Amino acid sequence: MTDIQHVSRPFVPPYLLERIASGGSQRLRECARHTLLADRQFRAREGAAHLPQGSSARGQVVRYIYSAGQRQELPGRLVRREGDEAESGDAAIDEAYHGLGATYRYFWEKHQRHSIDDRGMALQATVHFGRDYENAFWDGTQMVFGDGDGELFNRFTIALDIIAHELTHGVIQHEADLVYAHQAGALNESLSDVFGSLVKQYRLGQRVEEADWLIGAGLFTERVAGRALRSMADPGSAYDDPLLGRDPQPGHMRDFVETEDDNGGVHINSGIPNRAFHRLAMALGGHAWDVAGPLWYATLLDERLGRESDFTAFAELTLDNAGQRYGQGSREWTATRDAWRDVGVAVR
Amino acid sequence: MNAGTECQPPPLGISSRLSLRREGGIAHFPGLAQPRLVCCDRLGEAQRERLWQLLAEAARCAAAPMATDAVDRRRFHLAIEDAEGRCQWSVELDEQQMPGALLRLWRDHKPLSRG
Ligand SMILES: [Zn+2]
Repeated sequence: MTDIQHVSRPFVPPYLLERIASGGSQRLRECARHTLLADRQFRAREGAAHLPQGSSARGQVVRYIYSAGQRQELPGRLVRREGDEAESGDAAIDEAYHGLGATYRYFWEKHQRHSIDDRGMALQATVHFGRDYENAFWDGTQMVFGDGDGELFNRFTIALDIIAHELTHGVIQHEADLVYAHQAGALNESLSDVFGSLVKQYRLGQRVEEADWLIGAGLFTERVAGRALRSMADPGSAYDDPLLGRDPQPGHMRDFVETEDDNGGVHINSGIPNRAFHRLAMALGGHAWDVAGPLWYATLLDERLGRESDFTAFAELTLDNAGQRYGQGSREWTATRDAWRDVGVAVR
Repeated sequence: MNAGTECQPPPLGISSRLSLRREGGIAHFPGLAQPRLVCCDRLGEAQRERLWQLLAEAARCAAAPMATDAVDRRRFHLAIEDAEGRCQWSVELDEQQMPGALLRLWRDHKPLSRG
């Protein structure tokens, strides 16, 4: 459904002529500005050394929320920090603050993990990043959330699982550090979705059959024909919209998408391991954080999980961990094996 | 700022086409990832010159260091194609490095909104 109406559309963008008279000096100014911006970001990424004070008490979260004030600058201005209990009244700031808190609490209470690095690293997030910025990302040190364009996307802090998704990228970076391309990258993405969904389910106290298993529900405005960014239960069904196109996620290896787009399909093929996790959780029933979540967490921390692992390597390790915890042939072990077989990933 | 002449775009002729593609981000939206095309036959000479300057600027900005640990970020792929659709020149850059005017060009060339 490639709509290239714009090819034949009358095209007279005035800004192509803007400032042409001022020529080189303006170009140099522009480029210098962009280079400066990039440099600043590069410095900001030099490492967690530049993060503010973390938490020395295990079980105690330390959060810092900044506002970029619609500019593309990191981290921006500090607007809420740990212990500021009064709501700011700014939805993005308050959602980020509570979302980071809920994510910390899940990892601590369910996996005894003390923040992103398990050593109390400060949780830092910037909201109001850019103008009409319709994205959220992990920059290697902190989380960043745009306000959305209001046309297709709402603000990105609106969905707790999105906040948890970005924070989990930090956890992955400190553990398996899966390469962000092809199957390893799709595993990276899938793990962020899995823990994003787990954080949301835990926060809402949901049993597996009560959870929506969607990623990013609430992000789309009412103008979009879609429910969310992704569906873990039924990959490929999250949206089908004239502007966004159709959800491209497969839920089975026979539909695996070979592509160089999207870092080799990291946000596309993640549908396959996402669905395996959903299958396992549904087969076991109860709360997904009781058995399935800890199995995936143990596998993320497993030293045998290499940076370039593919789906099969990851699946084999989940099965091995299930065997170690519950015994080979146990209900949990069998359900894990069947979940992977259901999505076409060959395991023993 | 590395202004290597080898990364400079070729001159834009009347039959050149610029393809702008954005990819990455927290999800892959096939509709938004479609290349957006700017056909030079619809531009006057001064506009083509201005466009060329912007592409040269993009090439210089692309030389800045990239984030290695960043995930869910977006990137732009710019390419000049000849009349036969052959790629003559291309550059990839982080969205932060993208010159504002080219960003607006990408925005303005989105598929038309539904009626
Ligand atoms: Zn992600």
